[in-house]
Amino acid sequence: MELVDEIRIKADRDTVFAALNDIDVLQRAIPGCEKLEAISPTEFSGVVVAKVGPMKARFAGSVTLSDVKAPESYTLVGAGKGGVAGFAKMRTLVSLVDEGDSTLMRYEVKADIGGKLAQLGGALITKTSKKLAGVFFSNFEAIVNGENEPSSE
Amino acid sequence: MASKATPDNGSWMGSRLPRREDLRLVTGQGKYISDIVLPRMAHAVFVRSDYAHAKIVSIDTSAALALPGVISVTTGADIVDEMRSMPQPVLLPNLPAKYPTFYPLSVDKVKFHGAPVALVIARDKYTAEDAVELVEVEYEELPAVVDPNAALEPGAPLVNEDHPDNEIFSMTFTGGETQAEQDENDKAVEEIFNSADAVIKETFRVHRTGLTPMEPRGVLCDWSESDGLTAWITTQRPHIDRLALVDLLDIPAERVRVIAPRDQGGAFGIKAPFYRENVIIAHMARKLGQPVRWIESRYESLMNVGQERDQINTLEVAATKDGKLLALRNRGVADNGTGETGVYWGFLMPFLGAHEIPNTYTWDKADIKLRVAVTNKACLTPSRAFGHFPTRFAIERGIDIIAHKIGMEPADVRRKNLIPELPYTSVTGGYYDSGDFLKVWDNLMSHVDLANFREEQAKARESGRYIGIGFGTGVELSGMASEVLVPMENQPGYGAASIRLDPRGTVQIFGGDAPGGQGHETSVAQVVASAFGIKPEDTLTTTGDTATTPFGAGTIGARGASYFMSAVHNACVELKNKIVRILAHDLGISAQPDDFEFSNGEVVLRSDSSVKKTFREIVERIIMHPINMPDGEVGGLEATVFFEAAKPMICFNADLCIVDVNIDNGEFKITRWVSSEDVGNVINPLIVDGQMQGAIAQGLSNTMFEEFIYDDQGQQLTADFENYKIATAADLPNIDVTYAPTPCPHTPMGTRGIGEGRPSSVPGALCNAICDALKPFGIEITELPVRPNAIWKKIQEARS
Amino acid sequence: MKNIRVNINGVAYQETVPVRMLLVDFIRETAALTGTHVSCTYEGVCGACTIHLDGEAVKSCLMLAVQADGHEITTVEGLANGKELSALQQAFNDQHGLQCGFCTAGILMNMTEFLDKNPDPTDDEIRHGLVGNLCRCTGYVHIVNAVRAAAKSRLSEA
Repeated sequence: MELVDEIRIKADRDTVFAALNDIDVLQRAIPGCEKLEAISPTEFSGVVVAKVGPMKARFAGSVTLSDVKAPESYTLVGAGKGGVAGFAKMRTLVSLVDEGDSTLMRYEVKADIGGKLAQLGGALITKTSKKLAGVFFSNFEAIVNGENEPSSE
Repeated sequence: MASKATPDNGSWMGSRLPRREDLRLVTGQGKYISDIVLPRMAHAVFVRSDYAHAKIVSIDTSAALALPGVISVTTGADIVDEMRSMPQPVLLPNLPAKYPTFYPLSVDKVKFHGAPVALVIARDKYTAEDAVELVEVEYEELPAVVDPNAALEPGAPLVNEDHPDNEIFSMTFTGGETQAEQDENDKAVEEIFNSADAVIKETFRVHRTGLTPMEPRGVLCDWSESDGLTAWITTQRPHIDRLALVDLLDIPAERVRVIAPRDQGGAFGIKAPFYRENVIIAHMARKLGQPVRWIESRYESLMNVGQERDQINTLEVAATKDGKLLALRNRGVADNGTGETGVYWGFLMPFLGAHEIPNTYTWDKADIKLRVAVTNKACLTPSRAFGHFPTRFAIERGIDIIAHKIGMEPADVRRKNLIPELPYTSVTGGYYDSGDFLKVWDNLMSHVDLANFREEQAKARESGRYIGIGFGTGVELSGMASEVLVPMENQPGYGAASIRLDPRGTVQIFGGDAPGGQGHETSVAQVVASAFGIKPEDTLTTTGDTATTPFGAGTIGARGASYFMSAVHNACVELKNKIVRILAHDLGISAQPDDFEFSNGEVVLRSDSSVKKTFREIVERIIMHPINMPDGEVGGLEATVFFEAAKPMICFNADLCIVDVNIDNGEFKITRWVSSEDVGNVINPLIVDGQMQGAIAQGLSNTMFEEFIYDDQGQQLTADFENYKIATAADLPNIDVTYAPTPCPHTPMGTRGIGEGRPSSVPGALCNAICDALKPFGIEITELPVRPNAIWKKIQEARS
Repeated sequence: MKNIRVNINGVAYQETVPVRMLLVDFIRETAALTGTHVSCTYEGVCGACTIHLDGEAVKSCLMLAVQADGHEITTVEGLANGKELSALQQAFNDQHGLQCGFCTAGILMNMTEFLDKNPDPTDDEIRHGLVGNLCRCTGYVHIVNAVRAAAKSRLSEA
């Protein structure tokens, strides 16, 4: 599955980049994230509950930051296992464009889904992924701008 | 059960007798494997891999074992020292191939999405399913091999590490046994291509599809120290399965009994292989000391079996400008899946498919080569039109394409090149024993006025309507002689039947095959009733139980009316002869078997109809009161007969299809389907009609709808009936079956075995019709499945 | 676990069942009426599990047993009148409308209701009425013939 999109965040690039590396921000922004821990400065492990179509799965996995070029870009490589629902792997390139008061964040996701999740169909997975990404970014922006309450839906 | 049809001249041959099986089946009294329940029976559910290719790092069964009601959780590591591995000689073809080593549960690594990893056995099915979710398997992913051509590239990841590469099998089918002979042949073929008036070359791709039956698989095993193993298995070949269990589990042969349930919900080849599930269920029943039953879910079935076809055939055809076919050259590549299935190992299907490419036409020469690659997908399992669905699609499309090139009617090219006289040996050494292809073809053509259709078609085009007509032919195996089956599957081809006459004048028949809906009980009843002059309902046929039936290779390859029923007939003749000998002796006359007529429950002297005995009287006399017997004659009336035909036999069919294509959206409607069959003498036309219609429908469903899809990570995405769509009644046309038979000279009743290969001519006929309709656009379909959006795209391309 | 009362083919059952138990499993295992079959993974696509719930054709794999509490169920075992087959059952025998029989019960239950509602259907209507029942063996030709013949026979008896 591939997902390419961009979003404009009303904050300067340095702030945005710092927030992207802040484990507390991430844990609050990721929809359904129950737990996120830093194993090292560039590796996080955690648990995320996600609903894809009729299937609700608890994903346990980890994410590694690589190719870090502060404050322009980094690559996230992650994998998670969702028990009987299946598993997922992804590679995401996040790049930030300085627009002064705002930052244009571009993300390119390449993901592989396996197990029963894969059998739900590509269209459903893409739709759900887009939706979850949308929730993440609106949560993220709200946190960065000091607004309250991120949603988990 | 009252007979609706009456015999013709005392013979039930050719009678449209309604089936005796129906009474129990329409009232819900059938006994399929999932209906069999034993006391203390435990339920088994498999843990299966989510990965197409991965190392098994660890399996934690503790949580599953802790669930109340769970009896055992078994992994591959647990069983490697408790049984033999595959391959075993009894399940190996006599063909050189790289046979993978494997156990019923994956050991060290998993090789396809859905591979069995562990087995949970619990007191009830729901608990077992819950426990499966608690088994934690840790995998280390490996790169998945999902394309057969990529699999054959040097350096590709290995699917089976006990082999140096992913080519499980390859073969040249033409020219001779030695490399020198083959090279010479290839050169001769090349020369023909260089000098021919017309040459075409196309690559034909047929997707992964097959004929998953409505009843998935199941295994129920019961072990006792005194009686050994009793295994009920959804199988087409109980006697072979029995030998396999004996060898794999080291059980003395006489203490293994395999029973194919009397009722099976279809098979179509999918229940012909020997499967790993059989072994582990039997093993666990023995280990646990209680019966264990596994019923396959539809999800498991679509993940593991029913996948066939999946070939790429690059075909070249050379012909004269008058439409005389000269030579063909074919390079086939087949996607085998893992190869971990006994008897067939996947590659046996494309093997036969390559062998059958020449089909019903004369060729001066041919050059046919095949390579089969293992991949990280489920192993191919046989499906009706065993291996030759893709190659027949290729050749039948090839005929039309070269006809278009020459500017001739495809129907005329076919007729011109149909084998004019049989017996005939094809360029791949296939022996066609008997039949009149031209008669079958002409019968087909008598059902359509082609010239008139062309006029209609032209007129329709003027008003923006696109109709077309397409043809296909198929020569199919009628049973499989030992001389074919021994090299191919290391198994005998004879038919076997035991007949037991009862002192009450009724007959019991025992056959070692295992039908799944073909109506054998009724057909056999008709054969026996005709032979002895009694009523079909005074017979009872038992099949599928290795303890009570003679050895048979199974219900495969159209062995029914060709081999099994021939054996039944011959056993009846043997007993009739004995009855006549003793009756004549009792009457004080000398007589030959033919001097007496068996009809209406009596045995009557033809020359003097007042001299007779009732069938029951004479039978009772011979069995119960065997005194005053002729010299050398002993009482009893039972016979076991093995029948082997003198030559491998065939049957033949031709199809025509008329379609109406909507060029605005690519949708097409089949407005007419007519078939013409040579199935020899027919025992029950009602049953044969049903077989033909069913086969053609299966061919259409495979061609238009069903598709197993694997993504580039080897994830199988089509594991339910929502996604793997099978044709419904609203998707299919009415089908007209007509007959132009030639009795088979090699069977006692002139019958031919039917039904196995029948779907093969369907994709060609349908696609030929669509291409004929769209001739103004110059479209040639070379890929299946054929779907409206693909057709629409081709029309758009042609228009731009 | 829940206690339920169900009437199947005129026989009253009172059983304690897990709430998660599917109706088709209740019929097949608890009531031991195995004429109703399971062919898909409880998707409701294949139709082999079709029964009548209070006279309406319903796919029993899509229901829980507890949902049938207090209701009347008819399965294929209840179609015949003693030894007398229904017109539809007889027509399936006469017309060779079945081969392996695995889909047959579901088709009989579905078509019984279909003919009650459409006593004189066209072949097209019959084919569309059958979209909820998958058959692999017959190609549907003889099934359509059987339904047509049963319709005729029921009309002439009416």
